[in-house]
Amino acid sequence: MKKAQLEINETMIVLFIFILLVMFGVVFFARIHRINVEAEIAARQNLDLVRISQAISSLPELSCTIGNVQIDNCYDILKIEAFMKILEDNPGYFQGTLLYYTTINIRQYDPFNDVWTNEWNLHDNNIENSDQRKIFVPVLLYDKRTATKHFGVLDLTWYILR
Amino acid sequence: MVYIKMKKAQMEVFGLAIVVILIFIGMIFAFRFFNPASTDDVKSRYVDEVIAQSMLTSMFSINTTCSLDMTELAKDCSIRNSYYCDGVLSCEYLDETIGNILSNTLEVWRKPYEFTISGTEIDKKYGDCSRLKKVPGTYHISLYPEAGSITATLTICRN
Repeated sequence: MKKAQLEINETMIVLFIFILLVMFGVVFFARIHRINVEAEIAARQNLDLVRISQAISSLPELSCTIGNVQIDNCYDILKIEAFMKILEDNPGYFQGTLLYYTTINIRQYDPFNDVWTNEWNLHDNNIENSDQRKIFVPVLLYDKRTATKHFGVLDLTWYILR
Repeated sequence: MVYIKMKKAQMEVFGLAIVVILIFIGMIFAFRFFNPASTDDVKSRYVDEVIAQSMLTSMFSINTTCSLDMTELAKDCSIRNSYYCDGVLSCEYLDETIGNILSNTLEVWRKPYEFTISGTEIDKKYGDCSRLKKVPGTYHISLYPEAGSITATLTICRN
């Protein structure tokens, strides 16, 4: 009787340790899975940022053309100024289809004098207390008035609800 | 009798060792196949490729303060280095301009990089790329009417 009880106790301890190990394993894999999913979401969000930046640069309202040929990754300065006015008059323009909750700045840099010369705040629709994803894309800025090309950077911040 | 008891104890230790080894193998398997760095690698690499390529195309398309643009200055630098732009030779002008652009962009964004233009002595670096993954962008410049071409390579390094 005593021996049988001892064996039951032993079995219970073994089962307890086994369940403990299984639980440890489940928690461990769940955590790793969560980290993976978070990394995947971050990577997708970064890709979405690139997609938005490329979509913006190919907008006819902003892209630059030289001799009827559209230049890749190039923004027309005059068009930027006109587009800003359009967005000012119609704040909902492109809101739900392209610009979403983003802040978009285009900055012009003069590498010959080492100064940032201009900055255009194209769009600003931020959400307070939200997660942010940022991307900086080097771009070409074309000034049709002087027919000159300048170096610029597109700063795109995307606000994501938590 | 003593011999049998010893054997049983040894068997139990042996079983315990197998369990520990199995747990250890499981953990190695988990770290190997569920490494978050490997899942987003392709996507993050693409983002850096876009940045490197955009940087090169923008950099070599801009107008300079003299009549030649950056591409033409790179050609002159590679062939004879005889053109004066703002009082300095093309190679020196190019070196300073590219240095300014890279230090105000990639260095501010803390992205280690390596930049070279083949056929010239222009060679710029930021950070230690030796242990990092490299994402290169290239920009080819034809030397026409001379034969051949040169290549500007910007490699962004990442974990």
